[in-house]
Amino acid sequence: MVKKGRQIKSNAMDRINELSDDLLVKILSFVPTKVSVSTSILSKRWEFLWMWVPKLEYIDFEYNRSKSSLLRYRDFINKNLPLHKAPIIESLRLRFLSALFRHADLNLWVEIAVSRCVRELELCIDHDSVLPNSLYTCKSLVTLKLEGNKVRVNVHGTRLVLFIHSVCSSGGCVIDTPSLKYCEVEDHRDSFSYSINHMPKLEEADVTVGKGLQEFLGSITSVKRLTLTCPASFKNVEEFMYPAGIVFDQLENLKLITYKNGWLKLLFRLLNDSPKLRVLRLPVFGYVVDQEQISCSIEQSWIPECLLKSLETFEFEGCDKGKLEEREFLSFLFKHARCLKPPSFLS
Amino acid sequence: MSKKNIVLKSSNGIIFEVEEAVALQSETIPYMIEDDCANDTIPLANVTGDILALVIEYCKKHVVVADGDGGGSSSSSQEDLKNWDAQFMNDLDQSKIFNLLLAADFLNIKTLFDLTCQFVADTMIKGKSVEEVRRTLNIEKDYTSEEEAKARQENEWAFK
Repeated sequence: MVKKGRQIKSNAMDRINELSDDLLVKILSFVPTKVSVSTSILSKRWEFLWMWVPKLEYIDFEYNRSKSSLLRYRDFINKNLPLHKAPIIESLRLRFLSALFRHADLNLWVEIAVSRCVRELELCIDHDSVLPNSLYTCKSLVTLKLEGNKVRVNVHGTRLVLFIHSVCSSGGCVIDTPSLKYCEVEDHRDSFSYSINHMPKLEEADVTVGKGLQEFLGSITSVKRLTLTCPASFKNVEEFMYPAGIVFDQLENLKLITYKNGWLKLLFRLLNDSPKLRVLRLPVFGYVVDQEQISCSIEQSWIPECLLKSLETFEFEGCDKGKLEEREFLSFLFKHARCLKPPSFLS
Repeated sequence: MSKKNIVLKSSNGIIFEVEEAVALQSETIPYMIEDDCANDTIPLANVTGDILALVIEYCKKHVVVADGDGGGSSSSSQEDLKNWDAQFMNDLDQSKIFNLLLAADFLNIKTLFDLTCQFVADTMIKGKSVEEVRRTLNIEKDYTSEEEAKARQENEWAFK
């Protein structure tokens, strides 16, 4: 298999020339994009090999770079990304922080990634940026990492699903989505701030947040179905409490998930605020009672309207039905809920 | 459960008998067994004996031993395996490395394939000048000086 006319020493060396282009591309996928681009001048065979590599990272550190060098960086991406030959871009990491940033460029880059079935997209952008809508309907996307002071997520559909990992920066999150019908937000950060505009058309919400709960609930008062989860990281539900005055006048179906004791107070606040509630589900599983006994007697001088008028279905799912809080609530419920169908215990 | 052995035959006729779990790290071998292209011996026409010995050495080290509970655990810790892999690759000359890469590709052993690709990328391409890479990989420069200058200019970003 060794090519004729070569020196003997190249017997071994020649093997790389026997490697198929596919294998060379595979090898190139193990070096940074900048290095793989530099292999284009090895020989004519190598000229475009790097363009078949399915992983791309444009992460120049721009600090202290000259304007011409920044321009070269931007122009290179603009020229080569549209021509990239890999039919699927498995991952694209892009970093562009300098003043030469242009929205049109970012849109183009993201659109190209989406059209090539991108699986992982990582963007580090420090400008007030709006990402193209196609990103939110991209079926191939598995991981989206956004970094930067102002990245705007623009939602044109009626559904918003946001998952924010605990390692994400605690930068402010602005949600302005007046036509949303479904909203699911899970935020695991320790500290953050939210600014949420009212969502008058929202019908269903699934909210797992800690400290921004008040802002959330105040903006989603139109919901018919609400699932509220108190994150396991909270010491007790007291921290999760929101102030009175928010009324869910459409709410029919409520599911409250907690992992900690102290949920009774929160539940009563929600019951008082939901006059039309028909279905209540309480999967109160596996929480640990704190050492210091908290008072969980029902200091309820009036009976929530929904118990008297609308609550028909109650589902209770708890590991340990003997806890004081649970017993108190069950006896209160069965005493006062007038429209209730026969109870359902799910273990 | 009795351990089943599989017999592999290299392109130059050398016979290796290995436990099934060792051989099945290759995703190609099961097809060859299914195809019944060998009831007793599986011929590997693309892999020479010395390379097949290396492949088997790697697969033996990486075989996942089923434990009593039906789960699986590697016979060595991840850290040990990483060190072993590094030593394994370092001991090979360039000819063996490329042959191993081809064998891992043909036998479809993903971890070995990735390991060899990574090794080639790290030791023969990364951090090397164009001339060094050409020399290491025996790549003949077929650009004219003008062509090379042009290619360099077009991809200037990568060289600054």
